[in-house]
Amino acid sequence: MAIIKADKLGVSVAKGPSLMTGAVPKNDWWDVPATFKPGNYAYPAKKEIIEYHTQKTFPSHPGLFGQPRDWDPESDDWNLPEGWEKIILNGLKERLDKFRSLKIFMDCCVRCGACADKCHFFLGTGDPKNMPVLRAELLRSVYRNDFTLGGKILGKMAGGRPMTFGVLKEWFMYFYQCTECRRCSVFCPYGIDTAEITMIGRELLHLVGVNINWIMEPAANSNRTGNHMGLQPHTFKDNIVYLCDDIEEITGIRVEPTFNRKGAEVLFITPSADVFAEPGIYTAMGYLLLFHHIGLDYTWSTYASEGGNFGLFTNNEMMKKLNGKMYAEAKRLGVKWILGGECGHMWRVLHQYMDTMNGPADFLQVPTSPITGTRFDNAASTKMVHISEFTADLIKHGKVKLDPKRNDHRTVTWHDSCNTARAMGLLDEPRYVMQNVCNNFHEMPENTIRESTFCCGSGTGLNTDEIMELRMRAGLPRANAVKYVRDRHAVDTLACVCAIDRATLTSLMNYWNPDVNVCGLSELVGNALVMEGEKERETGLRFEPLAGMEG
Amino acid sequence: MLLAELLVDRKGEILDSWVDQVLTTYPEDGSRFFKKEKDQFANPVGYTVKSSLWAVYALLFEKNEPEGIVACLHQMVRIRAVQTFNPSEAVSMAYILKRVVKDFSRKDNVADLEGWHAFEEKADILAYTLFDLYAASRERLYQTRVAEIKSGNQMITDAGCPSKLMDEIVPKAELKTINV
Ligand code: SF4
Ligand code: SF4
Repeated sequence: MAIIKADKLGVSVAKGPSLMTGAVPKNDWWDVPATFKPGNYAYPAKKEIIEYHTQKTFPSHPGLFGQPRDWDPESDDWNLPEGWEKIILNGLKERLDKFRSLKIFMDCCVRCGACADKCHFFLGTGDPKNMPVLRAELLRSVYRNDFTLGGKILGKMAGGRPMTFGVLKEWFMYFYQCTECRRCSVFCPYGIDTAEITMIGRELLHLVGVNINWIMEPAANSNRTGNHMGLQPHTFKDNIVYLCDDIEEITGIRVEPTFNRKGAEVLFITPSADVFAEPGIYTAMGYLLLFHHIGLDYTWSTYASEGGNFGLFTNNEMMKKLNGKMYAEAKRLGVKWILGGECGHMWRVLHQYMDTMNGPADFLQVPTSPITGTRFDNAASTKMVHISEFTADLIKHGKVKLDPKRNDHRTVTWHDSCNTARAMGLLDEPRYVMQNVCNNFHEMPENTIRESTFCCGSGTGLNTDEIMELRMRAGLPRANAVKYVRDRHAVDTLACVCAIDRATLTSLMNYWNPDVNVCGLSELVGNALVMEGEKERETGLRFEPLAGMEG
Repeated sequence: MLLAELLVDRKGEILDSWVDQVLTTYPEDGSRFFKKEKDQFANPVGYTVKSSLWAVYALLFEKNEPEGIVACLHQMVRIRAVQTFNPSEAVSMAYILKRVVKDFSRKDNVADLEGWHAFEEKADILAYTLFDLYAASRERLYQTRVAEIKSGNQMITDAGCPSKLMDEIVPKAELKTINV
């Protein structure tokens, strides 16, 4: 056997024989330094935001977010705390002990390369460090160096490398070029979830105060007012009332939702973007119409006024706290169960992590639809049902009157949002609803939908405008599949059930396929709903003329 | 041999070399994948570059329909305009083509001045079109950014407190009290 030079061995960890068909990097990847330039990084959190989290969100967890400070990713001095390397290594040790999955993910990758070409960031950039196998290797190399016997003795020869400032920069660069979408995990024969490696990477970065504002400020707002937008109760309520005014103008029906009403049967929670930002507001109008149509005994909460949970992008403690708020509100109001709107990561937190953090929610009842009597045993532990499951069940039982022709002015395709599709298996319910509310529907190609869906490219708190170029290249595989159905079938509407997607796909389409609009599924439901006593509809919920009404 | 003949006779080789060199502008590990994977959805970059260059070549040197090239190039330039290239690298395809064709004509001893003038002219049309599309794509990128900021999705940060903003937008008298 040829003797491999020691300095090459560290590289050969990613060069080993390929068991699968995928590609693994052949280059000396860790010799290429991460360089920050305007446009390739998201802005760091403002000092006062970290101060807020330290003092108000987690006074009981000093150090969770490092020292509040100003720092500049482009500078060579990040103003890191004394002994920051030790802080990271201790943090890693603590997490290896706490999360068995992390230890397994660190140990069991065989570098087969099956995941390598499955990440949209790699497909859009060609940067090998965006291959999931290498993204994980950024952390794994440090793990190997300090936590495995081979690494401790052989160091680089065994694929280990010490925690240095260069490594920290790579982490900040590439753990924020992963949207935790889990597409790679679908193709990994060992089920390694690189998204969870990114999550731990980000947690560790937080310990030394390396973070981004687009995540930390909405998280602070959520802690303070209950939602990302920082809306106070009166504003939250007023916005919904404005939407009711629009509904009245379009349908002639006055919808009267209630707020913070104790004793309602159901608490409805949705992302605040549905209440405040386009095109989410049209989706919210769809919810309002649907609940009025079926006479649901429900309430909105102006405190649990956010389904989104930026804790998922931050650390376990934050995720737990923000998730807990929804349940605290359900308890306070004395509802029986929770109905959840079109959100992505709220559902990921619910399905993957809620039970171990805050569950089971035994003070609530197993959700049962008061209209159809269906018991949602799949939500027996979390007591929270997705609006698409709920709507599909209503349609299945013939409890809603629909006129799909009212969406004839649109030709629609369906984007499976990563979190609802891959993390909770919500694949067929939205399609069933879609079939019933619109006539012109075309699927995107098979390897870009369902479990293999491509991310919008801007999830996990990367939907900030200073990295627009990065987002556009990460979203290329998604946009490319939309382009295909647009060219073939004249698709002009991209529907989904995720608030972040609705915002980010809007920009993605604006750049790649400018004639394609983005909407939520419930907006299409709202258009199709035939309300009792309504006037003839001339426009859809965004005041766009219906087919045949263009004149 | 005339250059126009060479461009037709050796089309396949010239295009292979052209596509290969354009894809070599990516990091080595990425470019290897972009060159290999054939599925257009699993490999949008490689597929788009290849199909665009083939289509453009046919329009310029076989069908002589230069006006059609905009549609063939648009998606490729959109891609290059958001990747980490300098502008000159992003739209270097025309120069790369000149280099490739020069190499082939040298090998085949093509000395056809007339033919070179005609070729240069078409390659220049390609270069100008790429430049225009690149500028348009960057413009689109900035418009996208502005549109996002205006949409309200950006209200989360930097805009101050949205509740206060709403207070300013909505006359005080219209605000109703909440019965909690
Ligand atoms: S989770 Fe998604 S973004 Fe992250 S490495 Fe895997 S495929 Fe890429
Ligand atoms: S993470 Fe899984 S798919 Fe990727 S290289 Fe390792 S074992 Fe293979």
